[in-house]
Amino acid sequence: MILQQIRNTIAVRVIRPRGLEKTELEWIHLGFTDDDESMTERRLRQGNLVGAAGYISMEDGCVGGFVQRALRFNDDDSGVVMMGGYDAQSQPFRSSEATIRGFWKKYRALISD
Amino acid sequence: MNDLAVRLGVHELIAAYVDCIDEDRLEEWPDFFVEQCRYLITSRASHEAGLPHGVVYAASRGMLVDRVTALRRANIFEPHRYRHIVGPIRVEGIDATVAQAHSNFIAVRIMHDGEMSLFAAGRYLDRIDLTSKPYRFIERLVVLDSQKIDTLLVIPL
Repeated sequence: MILQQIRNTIAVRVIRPRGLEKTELEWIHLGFTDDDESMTERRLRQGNLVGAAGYISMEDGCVGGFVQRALRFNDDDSGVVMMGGYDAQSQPFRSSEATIRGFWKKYRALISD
Repeated sequence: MNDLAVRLGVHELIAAYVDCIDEDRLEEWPDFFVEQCRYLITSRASHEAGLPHGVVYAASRGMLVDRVTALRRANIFEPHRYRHIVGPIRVEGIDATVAQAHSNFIAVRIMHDGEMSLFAAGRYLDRIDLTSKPYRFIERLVVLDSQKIDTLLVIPL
């Protein structure tokens, strides 16, 4: 179960595995009886960003499916997706591990002999 | 206004709407709505409980344009199309400027690899502006019979 509070969207997401090939994700969006009309409207609009078909969250379900299908072709039921390899260079895109990898490289250099 | 002419106009609007989606002319989809419109995809359970929240919501034509822009340029999904089948359309109320109509539909989803499935079934509950031709939706509620939606809902219903 995931409790979500992103801007004015308050939601409970319940993840229910239904077998190896199937998972259900239930979204329960919350509003309050003392919300005024503009707050309700704000919650509805922001549900377009982080909701079941939200701009940000709609792919969450299918990405897991992509990975599971891709891993089927790996040996020994495991696989590694490399995000850039071993160095820590700046990238023009944001889905990069450069900062975290760079941090640990520096940390290791500082504390090791 | 001649009721029969209104009914024909409403039929044409609803048929043209699903044609636009199924033939992937989604850039034209917002034009089926008036500027200050309301579009909501929800479930029967939520609708009957009077809950305003749905899975896709738009309160203006601009919000519909945003949906299409995101679908074309930002969202990541496996290519697929729909084929809508709309049942008989019932025009329930006609006054000088607005008609109310409802119709049943199913949408078959055809994936890029050819796999077909019944993706959605439900009702369209429409309020339609009659003041200009072609007619446009003031409000289109898409009430799905099931509360479960297979991954993922990106193309409008």
